[in-house]
Amino acid sequence: VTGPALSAQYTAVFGRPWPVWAAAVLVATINVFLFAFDRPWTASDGLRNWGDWVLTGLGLAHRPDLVAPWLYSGSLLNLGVLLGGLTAALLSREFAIRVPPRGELVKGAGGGLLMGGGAMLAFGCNVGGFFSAVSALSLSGFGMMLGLGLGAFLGLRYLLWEMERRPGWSSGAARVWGAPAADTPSRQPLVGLLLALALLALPFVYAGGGYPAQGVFLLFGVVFGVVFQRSRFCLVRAFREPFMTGDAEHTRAAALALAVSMLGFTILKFTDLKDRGDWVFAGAGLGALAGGTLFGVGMTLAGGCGAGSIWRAGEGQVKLWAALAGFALGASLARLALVQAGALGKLGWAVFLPSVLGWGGAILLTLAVLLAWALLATWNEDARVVSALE
Amino acid sequence: MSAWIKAGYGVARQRETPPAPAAAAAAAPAAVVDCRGLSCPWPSRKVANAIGEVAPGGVLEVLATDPGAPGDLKAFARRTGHRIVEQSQVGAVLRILVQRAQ
Repeated sequence: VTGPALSAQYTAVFGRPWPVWAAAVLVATINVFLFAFDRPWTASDGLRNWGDWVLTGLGLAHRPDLVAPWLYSGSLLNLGVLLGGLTAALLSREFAIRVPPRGELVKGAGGGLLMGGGAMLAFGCNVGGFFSAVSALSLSGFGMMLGLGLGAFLGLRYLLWEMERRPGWSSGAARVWGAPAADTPSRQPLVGLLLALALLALPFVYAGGGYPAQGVFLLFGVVFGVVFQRSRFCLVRAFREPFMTGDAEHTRAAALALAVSMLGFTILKFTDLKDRGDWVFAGAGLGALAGGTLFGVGMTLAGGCGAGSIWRAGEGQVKLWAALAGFALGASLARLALVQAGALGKLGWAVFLPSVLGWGGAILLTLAVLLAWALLATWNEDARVVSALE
Repeated sequence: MSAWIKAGYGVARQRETPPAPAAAAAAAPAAVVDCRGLSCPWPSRKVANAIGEVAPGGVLEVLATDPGAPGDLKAFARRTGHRIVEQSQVGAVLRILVQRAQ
């Protein structure tokens, strides 16, 4: 292998963005692998774990059953996404600590709180409560999809109002630290390579300590983080962009990812390799709709969803650090409030679609919904019925 | 937009350099949209707002630090007929020139 050939390969992987549709297929496939391994992907339960851990440490909450963040599967997935985003950003020379104007930090934290609260109502964020729930043929996932669309629309209306009437809230002093210098070769790829090697070694450390599965969860997260950072595949864009520029690339990619992931999950359930009730949440009803709407507003304000906030935080975007803090706190507090009020069982019904429609009917309905979503968004690209361009 | 606090990326210096006369006529930006420090969706949102103020064929200069900004602006241009005519980077700051559709 010659130097220039190697360099060209490196540029193909870390110099240019990956195709979004390819990232969608990868994310869906890895989600099926993760479900086959143990449980599907979700972000909100890991973030709630962090919130619970902090509140317990401060003596504000009492959770004797709390699993430590370095051992809990959801938390390890999130840590992996964070470190994967960081590693990919370093290898691509895209890491920098970007401190936005103060108004943006407020929106990050506020959006995070809304996402945390919404995720608890909908039994998961847009990853667990929507992406993985639709894959698991849970009706609650479709309810959350409606809510997310409505929330993204409302959140965008707010942003448009803010840009018009309160331009100062998204402008002002900002800082950037640690970016590659303009004139010297960057050391970021070297740091990224060392970090990647350390991440590959960690599962062996976990296995040596008697926790073999935990290290694997971390690695799954790392792969998600790398794929997202390199492709910038984004579910916020999938829901928001039709209402903004009209561009439907990420909407089509999201529909494709859901179709692949749903087929994989269905095979695992149909063959009884996985329990049919897995990831079927009792949120079909008000929980998924209201939770999805709150979450949709929150992710639009924060500029990142359950997954996107984490990998963007990893590439150094401080607005998303605020979003993660708000998300963790909002999730913890909302869950405590729901349990206190005894409302957890009143958020909706647990409906596993094949038990109503049969396996074939459930698969066809899901594919039809996804196809309609992608086609409507594509038609709107030129028709611009719902877009707000100017 | 108020002051930009930063250390040593040479943006101010770079902007003071007079552009080559041949390219100047085509690419001299009519206005600057400063999105430094801002993340998605602000770069494409602010460009969508500002491009209306530029004459057809005129050029907007966009400064951004979000690695997602070039892709966002490409998607925006694809849908609107405006053109990305130049993209460069100094340190963390991306400089993208968007030409308004005729």
